[in-house]
Amino acid sequence: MLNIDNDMLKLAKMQERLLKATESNRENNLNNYKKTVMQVDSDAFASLLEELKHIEEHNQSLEEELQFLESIKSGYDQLNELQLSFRNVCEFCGDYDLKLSDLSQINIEYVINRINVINGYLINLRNIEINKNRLQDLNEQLVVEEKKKDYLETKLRQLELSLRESFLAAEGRKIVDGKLQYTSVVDEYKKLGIDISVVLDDTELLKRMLVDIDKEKSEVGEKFGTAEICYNNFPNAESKQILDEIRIDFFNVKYRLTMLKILELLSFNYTNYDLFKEKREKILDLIKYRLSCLESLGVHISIDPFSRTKAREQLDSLTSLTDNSKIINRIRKEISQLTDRTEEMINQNSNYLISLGDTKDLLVSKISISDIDVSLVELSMDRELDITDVNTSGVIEDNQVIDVRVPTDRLNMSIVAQKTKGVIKRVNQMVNNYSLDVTVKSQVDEISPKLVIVPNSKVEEKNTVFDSTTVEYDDIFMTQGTLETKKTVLPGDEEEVIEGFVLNVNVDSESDIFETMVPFSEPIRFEEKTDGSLEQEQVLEIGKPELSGETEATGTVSETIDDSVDQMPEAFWVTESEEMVEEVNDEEVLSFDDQINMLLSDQGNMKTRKLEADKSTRKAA
Amino acid sequence: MKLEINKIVTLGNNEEYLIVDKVEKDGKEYYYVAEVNEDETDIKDNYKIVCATYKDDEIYLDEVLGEDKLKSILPMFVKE
Repeated sequence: MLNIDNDMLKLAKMQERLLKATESNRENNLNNYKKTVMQVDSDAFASLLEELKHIEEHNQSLEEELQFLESIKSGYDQLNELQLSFRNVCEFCGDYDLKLSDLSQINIEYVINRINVINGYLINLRNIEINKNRLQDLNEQLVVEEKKKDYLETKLRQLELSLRESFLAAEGRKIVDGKLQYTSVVDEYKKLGIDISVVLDDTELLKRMLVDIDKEKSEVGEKFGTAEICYNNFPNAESKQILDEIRIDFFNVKYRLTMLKILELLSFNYTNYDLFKEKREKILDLIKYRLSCLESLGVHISIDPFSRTKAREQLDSLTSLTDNSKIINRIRKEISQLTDRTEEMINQNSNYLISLGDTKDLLVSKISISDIDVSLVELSMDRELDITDVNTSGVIEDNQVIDVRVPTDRLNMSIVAQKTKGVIKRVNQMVNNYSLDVTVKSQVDEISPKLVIVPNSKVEEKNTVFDSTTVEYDDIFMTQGTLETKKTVLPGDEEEVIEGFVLNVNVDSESDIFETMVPFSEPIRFEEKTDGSLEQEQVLEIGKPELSGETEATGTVSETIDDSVDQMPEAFWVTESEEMVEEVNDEEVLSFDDQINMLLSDQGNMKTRKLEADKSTRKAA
Repeated sequence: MKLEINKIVTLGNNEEYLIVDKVEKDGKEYYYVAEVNEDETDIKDNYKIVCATYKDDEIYLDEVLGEDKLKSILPMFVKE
């Protein structure tokens, strides 16, 4: 949950209204507004980062983690909107330099992606569960319906058997010559030469009989058609008689065909509801047609045995039986679709699980969010939220202290003290844009024996003007001594330089000698008074490699400087304040090491320039 | 483990630093450290201002970067 100081936010709103209302005292008002919003932003951002640290407390379940991540996302969005509004106000006032918290430190892309993955997984999980429950219901329904269907089929089989038996047993009465005579279904077929009990079980025989009767019907039908045409063209008694005879034959054939078709239908046993129903409807139609044929043949039925079969009764009873085939089909179709969808979701969740269970990504991401230390973020706001900053439990980080101990005797603490003492002050000056007033002059008329600097721990004075004792200052060691030539130094500025140098050289090690001396400021010129013949210029140059100084024929000065020059804090050896100022750039803040390294490179350039200047001086001389 | 001046700390990356000085500001501890060479006979030309962070009984040292921070911390190490 983003913690926003509402009072400060209200104040910011008030200041915003003020800025928009009046332009008077705009600069002051804007500064006040910026302070307020930066405070609001800073507090809110800190609260967000603080919340991020507690992700481990919220990832016991995916639901918890999702809730937590959504809260983070919400806080992020809220703060982002706030920052946008703050910036808009400042830009409205022409200020485009409002420095607010760096939201890019939060890996919001990961947060969003993780929310999506967890959401997708959980939604799928819920849907899979719903589908599974639905499938279970459908399967139960299907079982019930299948049972119903089995029952129906059994019932239909029984009805088929019952229908067949009813045909075999159906009796009736027919009127022959005005008298009622017994008749039955079996008798009617017998008169046609058909043993119903045999034919019903012999489908092949039935088929052959049907083919024969069909053929006969066609032949008789053709005859009847021809006779009818003849009669229509030549209507006479003979034609009519022939036509009537053929018609009777034709009806007779139709009757026999109808009787065989009834048998054919009876021979099929249907368990399918529709076929079952259709069979009875057809039988009833055939029975009706049979009656019309019999009527045409002059046979009058008083009590039709076919009407005593159970065809009609069964057809009526079908309404009490429910055909659940469609229900079963629908259930099966739904089960199939649901199964497909569920499988798809299960596959999708497998992918989600891979993402969720990707130990490396998940762990890194979680930890990178949780282990950000707010204090460190404050220290180094420009650092990216990086996996290297994380603290995996059990994993030792690069910046983690794993041991603290007392140094061994081999470490010379006094040397260390010498080396380290002036560094901080120098860097402090650099950071604060402190500039040394250093100038490089070329003295054309000077003889310039150069100070030779070689890697050595001491600066040895080869010039007779120095004593041979060694002076230690700050982090280098230099030959100490008073310049005996002090009194013989050339008058004017040069003398002051020499005196300054002497003064510095004589400073004890505790007094930050390099803080006050002006190294390489000017060549130090002096006359060698002891032999009265030499006028010397001493140029102090320091570089990393061993430098072999050039000494004029007349020069005798040679000095050696600490061989541990590489170990010295090179910040001391800056000669041009302008260059140092350039290094301490507001826009590009360098680390301690970087600053020193850059100075080191500058030092080499300086050396080259000095050598060239020296050469030109001597040439001119 | 306790960080004290003139003691050598070994970091997780196996770098060893000598604690040269220490200041406190806003409840945080800042140390001026110099890297020790492999033989532990001298220090290298590698100086840092670091901030100590304590978490779960562990100590973490993070280099102080940034001009503003350095401006506020460095003067405290400068002893007149």
